[in-house]
Amino acid sequence: MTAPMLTRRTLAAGLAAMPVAARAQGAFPERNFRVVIPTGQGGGAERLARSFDDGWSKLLGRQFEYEFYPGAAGQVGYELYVARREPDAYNLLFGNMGPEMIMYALQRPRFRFPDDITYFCRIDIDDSCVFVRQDSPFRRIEDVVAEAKRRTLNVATSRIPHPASIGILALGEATGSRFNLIPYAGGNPTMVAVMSGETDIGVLPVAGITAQTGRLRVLGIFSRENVLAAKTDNAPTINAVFGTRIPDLYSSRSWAIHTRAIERHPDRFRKLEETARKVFEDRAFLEAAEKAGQPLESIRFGDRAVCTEYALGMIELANRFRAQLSAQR
Amino acid sequence: MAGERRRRPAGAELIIPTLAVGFTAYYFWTVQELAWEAKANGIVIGAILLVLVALLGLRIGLRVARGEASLGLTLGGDPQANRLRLALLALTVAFIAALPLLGTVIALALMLAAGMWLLGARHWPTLLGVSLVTPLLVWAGLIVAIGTRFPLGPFERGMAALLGLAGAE
Amino acid sequence: MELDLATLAGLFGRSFSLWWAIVPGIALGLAVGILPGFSPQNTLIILLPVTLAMDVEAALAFMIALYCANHLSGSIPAILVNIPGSAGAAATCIDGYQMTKNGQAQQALVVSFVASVAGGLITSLAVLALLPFLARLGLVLRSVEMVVIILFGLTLIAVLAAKDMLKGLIGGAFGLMLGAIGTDQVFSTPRATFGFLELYDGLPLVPVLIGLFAISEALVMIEERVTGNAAPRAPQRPQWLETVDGLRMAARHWWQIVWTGFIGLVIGVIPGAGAYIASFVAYQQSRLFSRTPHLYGTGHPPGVIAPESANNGVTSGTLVPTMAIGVPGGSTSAVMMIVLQYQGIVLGPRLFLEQPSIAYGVFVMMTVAYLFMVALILPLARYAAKVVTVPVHTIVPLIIALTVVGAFADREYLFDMALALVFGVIGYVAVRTDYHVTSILIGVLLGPIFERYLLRSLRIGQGDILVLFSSPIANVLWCLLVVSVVLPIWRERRLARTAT
Repeated sequence: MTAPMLTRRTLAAGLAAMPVAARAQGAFPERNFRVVIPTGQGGGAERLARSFDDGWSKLLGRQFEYEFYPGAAGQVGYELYVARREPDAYNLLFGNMGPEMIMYALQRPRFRFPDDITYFCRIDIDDSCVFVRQDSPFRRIEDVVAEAKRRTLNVATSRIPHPASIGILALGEATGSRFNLIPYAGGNPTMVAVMSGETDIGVLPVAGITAQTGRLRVLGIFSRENVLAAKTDNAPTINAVFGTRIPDLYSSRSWAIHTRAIERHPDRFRKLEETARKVFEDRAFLEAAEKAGQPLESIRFGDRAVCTEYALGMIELANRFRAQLSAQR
Repeated sequence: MAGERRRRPAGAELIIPTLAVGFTAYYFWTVQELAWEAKANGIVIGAILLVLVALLGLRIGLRVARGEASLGLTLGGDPQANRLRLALLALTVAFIAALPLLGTVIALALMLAAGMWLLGARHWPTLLGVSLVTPLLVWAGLIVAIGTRFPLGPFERGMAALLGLAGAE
Repeated sequence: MELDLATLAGLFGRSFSLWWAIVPGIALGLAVGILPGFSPQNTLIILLPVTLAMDVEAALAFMIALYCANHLSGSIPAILVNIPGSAGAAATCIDGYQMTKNGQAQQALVVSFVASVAGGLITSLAVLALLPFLARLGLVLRSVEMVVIILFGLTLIAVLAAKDMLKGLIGGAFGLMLGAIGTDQVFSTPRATFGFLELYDGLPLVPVLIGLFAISEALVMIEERVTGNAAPRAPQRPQWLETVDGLRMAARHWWQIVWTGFIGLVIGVIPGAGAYIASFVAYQQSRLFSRTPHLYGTGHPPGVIAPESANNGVTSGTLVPTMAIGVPGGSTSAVMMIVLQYQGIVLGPRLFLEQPSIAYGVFVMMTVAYLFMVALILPLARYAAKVVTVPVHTIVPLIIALTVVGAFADREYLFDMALALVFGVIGYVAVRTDYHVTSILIGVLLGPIFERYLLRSLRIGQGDILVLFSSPIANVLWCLLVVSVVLPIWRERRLARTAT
């Protein structure tokens, strides 16, 4: 059962992909990186992380190995990373700051942000959107709100503690319409629920929906501008349509590291920061990301300060909607 | 399952129900402050479980009252076999405890040798053969080839250094 | 999405030329399937660096072969030592291990292999023929229908409890309670985790499976060593005769293989439904429609055929939504999807027009992988059956050591090893006091998904419980469910009346 025994050309390919044995001693990084992903395998986070490491591993000369610890809206992955991974800058986390900071606010896990963990390289901004299936009777977002004033509409969402869920709740609050959130535990099942007509509408980050053009249609965006206008049939922003002041609600994937690792190994952290920033200039990364279904318009670098500000804002927002988002009564 | 079964005191039949009721009580306690959707399923099943256990208790109580059963607490089985079972369980606990210190290969070899010895294997070539070859297969197949992150010990580190394999940090 | 014969023949030719990827895939899949704790999706994730570097068709062929073979070999330890290699093989233990105890280990292996391979072959061919229809099926079977389908699996608790209904139901309810450990399905709030982070995601299946079946069984086996009262495990006839006997058993129940395979196929198409639901439902249905239901649980070949054919039917079904709508049907197909997307292949209906060699090719590769496996069945059965001749003093420590190691491998937590041990003790006590471990396991496996679909349905109904009866398909399924609960009772009554 030797894994790379796949004969012919794959043998060479397999060997090339295997971790390279000790090379130059002393220079960081000396070995491969281990990455905790707090969501399931096969999801958007994994795809984006793998496209990014196409470019990043070239700059660092080491590979990235992924471990998946989904559960409790990301709480498992984060707690495990903070408590059980050595803060040595070889252990990283690749998270979705939006939903996971909401989890942080609602579930009060056993770690502190930003004292224990620091986001340092935002990869994308993925605005939340309202979408329907192609043949839905709802043609515009106004139709949705009008109907939701008559009867409560069922809304498929990936999880209740999620920026997109906050968006639709805020829209309901602002317009006097009623929405009933149905959590489907992941983007893929959420899309299927809308396609099959099990729910009236769905809310998700918009990037995944653009890959389903022809089956799903975006009606509105929770943001100040629709950067993906070309790929979403010029869907309007919700604030523009209703004159509401709902804050920008986007998911945002980012690399994170133990805050203690930054203090202990500032040199290593600097190297990670510098190389990560350079990946955004790498065509290979952009092409891989696009192939994995990530629209290029959504890829936007953000440094440590930008990430921290966004994360703290998300925590505040979650606290505002605590009653609807949490099971604690 | 296998072998003949003696007439067993009925008390042992209450071990699983007791565990079940204990767990159900704990479950109820942890969900008391949650929204109904977060606890409805557990509470309905828990309630059914409590009724079922009450019925079982009644049934056993009647049998005891009629003098058909006692409330003794034995699982039956041969006394010598039971001692071996306890010893083997203790050995497994020791194995799990020793794993992070000794590493997978050494701990596994010791566990297999001790377990086989305990159960009466006295044929030395088999005993040594199984307890050495199995850990080596686990090492080669699961640790080196597939790359599962089993706890590493002196053996794994030594081999990694010797063969220049990666992953032995 | 039409396919002409010439293209199909070309696809078959192409798939056969990928033998060099399929054969190692099968070998690795078989090895991984035997070990509880090593799932196909974890193996594929670990091998991603290799598969991503391969040519896309070869990578697919390799992954599919590994996946299908994994479902074939999970039954080997289930039959020989009462330890399912994966949750999908748990139902196989019920009759498979009894056959081994009746001295029919090799027959049971042959029956299970034939059922697996034939079930997989038939369903993968069926997918090629029915793809457009099946792609729609995944959208028609929604949460409400899933509630009823899972209930079919749950009624198996009552079926297994036939000997002592009260204790059987207590075992099942205990399992269901344990299945409610972990975060709730709506708000993701942890419940009853004893403060362990490792339990937030629910009770992990592999350590529970290993504990309830493997460790408890090893503890039971010690009795044989001490009392010298070995089960009749040694084969009594020359082995080739037994092989033929097994083939004959399988052939006699060919129709069983076909229709239980289709149960697996349909359940596999539903996103999120796993092989274990299919195998439990198939076992329950097979017993229901049998003329000799009382033989189930005593080492009856159809009791092996139904779950094995069904869990291989799932392998065909689970790839349908992946290819046709671009949404993975299970975790293994999610990993396959990553490889496809990495190669720039956009999944969905257009794939069948733009790249039929990939879209249909996947199912052709699967058919070819099963054809390769046909050649493996008999030698594998013959040599694997020798395991039963290993003496207790060697096999018991081996089972405990290897399965505890397997408990670790799935999630890489030492905690899971300890958990396996705890469930080993629970399983042993259960076996000794006549609580069916399979009932507990069914509860643990099906409990969380039952809760998920039920709560989702209720939310969709906005509090109206009648939502559960709101769809025609679900109502038909409800009727079938009532029939499958009432029919056995009625039949038993009638048998009792004719007896007196």
